[in-house]
Amino acid sequence: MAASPALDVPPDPPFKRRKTTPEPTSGTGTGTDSPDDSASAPLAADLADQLDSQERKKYVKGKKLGSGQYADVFEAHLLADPKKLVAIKKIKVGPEVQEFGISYDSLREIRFLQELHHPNIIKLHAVFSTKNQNLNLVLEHLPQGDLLKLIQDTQSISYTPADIKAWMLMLQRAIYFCHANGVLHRDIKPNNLLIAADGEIKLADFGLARPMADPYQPMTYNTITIWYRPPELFFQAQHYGGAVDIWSCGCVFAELISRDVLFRAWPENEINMVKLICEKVGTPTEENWPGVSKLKGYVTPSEIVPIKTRDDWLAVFRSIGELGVDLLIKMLTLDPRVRLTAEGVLRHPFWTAAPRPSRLEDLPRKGGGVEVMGDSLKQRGGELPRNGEANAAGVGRGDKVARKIDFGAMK
Amino acid sequence: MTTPITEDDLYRTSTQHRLWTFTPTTLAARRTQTHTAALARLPLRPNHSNPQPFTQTDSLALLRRYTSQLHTTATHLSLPGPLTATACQYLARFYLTYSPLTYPPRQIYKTCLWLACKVHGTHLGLNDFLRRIGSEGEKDVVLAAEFLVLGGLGWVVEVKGPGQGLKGWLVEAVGLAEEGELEGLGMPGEGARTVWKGEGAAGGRVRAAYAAAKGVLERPALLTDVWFLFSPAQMVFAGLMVADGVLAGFCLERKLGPLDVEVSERVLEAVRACAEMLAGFDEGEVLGREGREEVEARLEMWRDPGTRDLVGRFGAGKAAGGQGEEAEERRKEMKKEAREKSRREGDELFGPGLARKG
Repeated sequence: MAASPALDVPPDPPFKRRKTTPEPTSGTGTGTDSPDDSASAPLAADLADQLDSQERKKYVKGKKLGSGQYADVFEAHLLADPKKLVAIKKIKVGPEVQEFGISYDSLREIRFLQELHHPNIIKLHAVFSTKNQNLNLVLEHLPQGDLLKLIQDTQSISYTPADIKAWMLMLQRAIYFCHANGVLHRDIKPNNLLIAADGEIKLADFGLARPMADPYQPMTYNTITIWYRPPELFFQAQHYGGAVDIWSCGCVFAELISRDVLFRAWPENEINMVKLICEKVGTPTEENWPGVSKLKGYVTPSEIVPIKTRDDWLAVFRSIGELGVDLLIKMLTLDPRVRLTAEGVLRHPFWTAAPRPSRLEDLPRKGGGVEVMGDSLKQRGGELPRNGEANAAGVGRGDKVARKIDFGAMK
Repeated sequence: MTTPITEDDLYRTSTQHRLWTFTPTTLAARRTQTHTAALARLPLRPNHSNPQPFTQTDSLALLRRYTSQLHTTATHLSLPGPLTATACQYLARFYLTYSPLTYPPRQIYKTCLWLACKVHGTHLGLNDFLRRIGSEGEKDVVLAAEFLVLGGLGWVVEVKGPGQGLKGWLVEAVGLAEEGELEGLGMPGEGARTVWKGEGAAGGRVRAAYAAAKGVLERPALLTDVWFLFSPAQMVFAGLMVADGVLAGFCLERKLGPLDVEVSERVLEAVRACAEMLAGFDEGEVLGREGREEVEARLEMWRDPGTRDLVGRFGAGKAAGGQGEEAEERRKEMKKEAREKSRREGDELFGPGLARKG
């Protein structure tokens, strides 16, 4: 690998203390003021730097994996063990930092990743800041790209219902764990589902996550990437729960099966999304969703589409089997109170029926390689990936890495 | 067979339990360690004759005063209870890493509140925030300490408190009252903080106990060490114990029901110890304005001069790193200002201006 192991870290600054402490007038410049001022006794002024640099110096930064408006992502390895790879997400300092300091997204991501330890949730190893107040998140290294790349690569990747079951099961376990911890993810979509070296799915990007609200506490309805957003949020519901994530999971499930976005509204706006949901699932009405007409933003096309029947669904998604379609219908139920909960999804007979979910080692491996991780992580929450265009192509052009390495192909 | 995750399992994985929970002994040791380390790092000693030292007791008293101030400010701004608790815990946790000698709380506490506002998604603008706390023009100072504070917290921002648990108890207990389960319970004991005096139905008793416990958990809990020593669930029942011990005891016993005797004895012990701390909190022990000024004057004499210039060290100007001439200009200006300021303060360190500080 051509990556330079150079640390992107300037040397420690001279002790700031000297600026404010009256210097001895001798002017010898040898720092003879007191014996315990030597390097062995760190000064309080540098305690903060020390804590940070201890963490920072554990890693050797390598090549840039991706660069976006919001963050740069670098590959890095442990100084103590070059085989232990990590990804360092360096949050860019935007103009908003002058306005309100460290961003909400960063704080949210740190908040939730520090708490949630689960095999299917991306691991946050550490956080440190660098001299010029840059925030760095040390994340698990996930070299196999993301689910979106697998779904889109219809030319060279084929996968089976057993593979879909394996991926979905991992996603649902992650979501169950989030919800059990009282956390809503609010941005589930295929490009936030990264793939580890061993094929395991890892839910990433908690920049839009929040704790479940107390009763009566309003929340924003303007969240979740639009194609994966549930109807109640288009109708501007301010009180919602885990059901919003389940809808997104249902969209991912359908997308895995048909290899196309389920609700691909174009242009991407709320009205078109509601129209599509009505066409594909049925029009939300007082009959199928009591109370829906009271929601502030409730507007539907005047022509009422009856709720799609099981046969309608089967016609499109038959390849996943009857039980799979049953689960899909229950995840994409309009009324969020009737939609399955995360636990309900896991208790569905689909998982234990034949075929068994594929073993990790049998899952298709080529999710676009390590650059995709950089690609996915650099995005801000709620952004749609530029569809069809392989982002990786535009990545790393500026850096001096000769060739991008496809970890998947090396297997 | 898989076993479902219990709330206890989840709590044990939380950063609050793993990193920010102590025994009384380990908590005291950590404080002593931080204080000693700060003293050892001081490059200079005041050249006054016999200055009174700045002790660990001073440090705790000052922190309690600033916690109280945070609480008052947050209440004044009508910020939600959990947000207030988060801000106060940031302050408390920060000062397990650093001593006031290194970073006086006056420089830090507003940043704690600002960070808590952001973590809780209040979407209050910074200028608005500053105006409402009467600190216009302190933008740079508040922002400068952000990374410092987060670093001192070990980059952990989640704080779990008893608020939600207490609400959950209310729902359950109202249910019990409606089912008539609370009939025949004895009257609240001596010293119970509930206002309920036996009138009306059991539902009234439950609500009165809730209100009293909420009061205890919203202020005294923040001004004692209970957050470092007990879990949120233990705090809920401890708050209820202080409010209405008889009712709390009944509900706790019901909850513990099938646990073996040894475990429930341990739980009860923890709840009682927590309740004792909460009940023992004395508002009079919080430093008044004069007390604070006295302690801060002494702190001013002893404090580490090397950490005075927060804005210069961590300021937003640095963050702007290389964003054109304007930023450069601003940065220089800020540095100059900060230098001036710290020089002035440095002069005061030895000069007569001490009594003026407030």
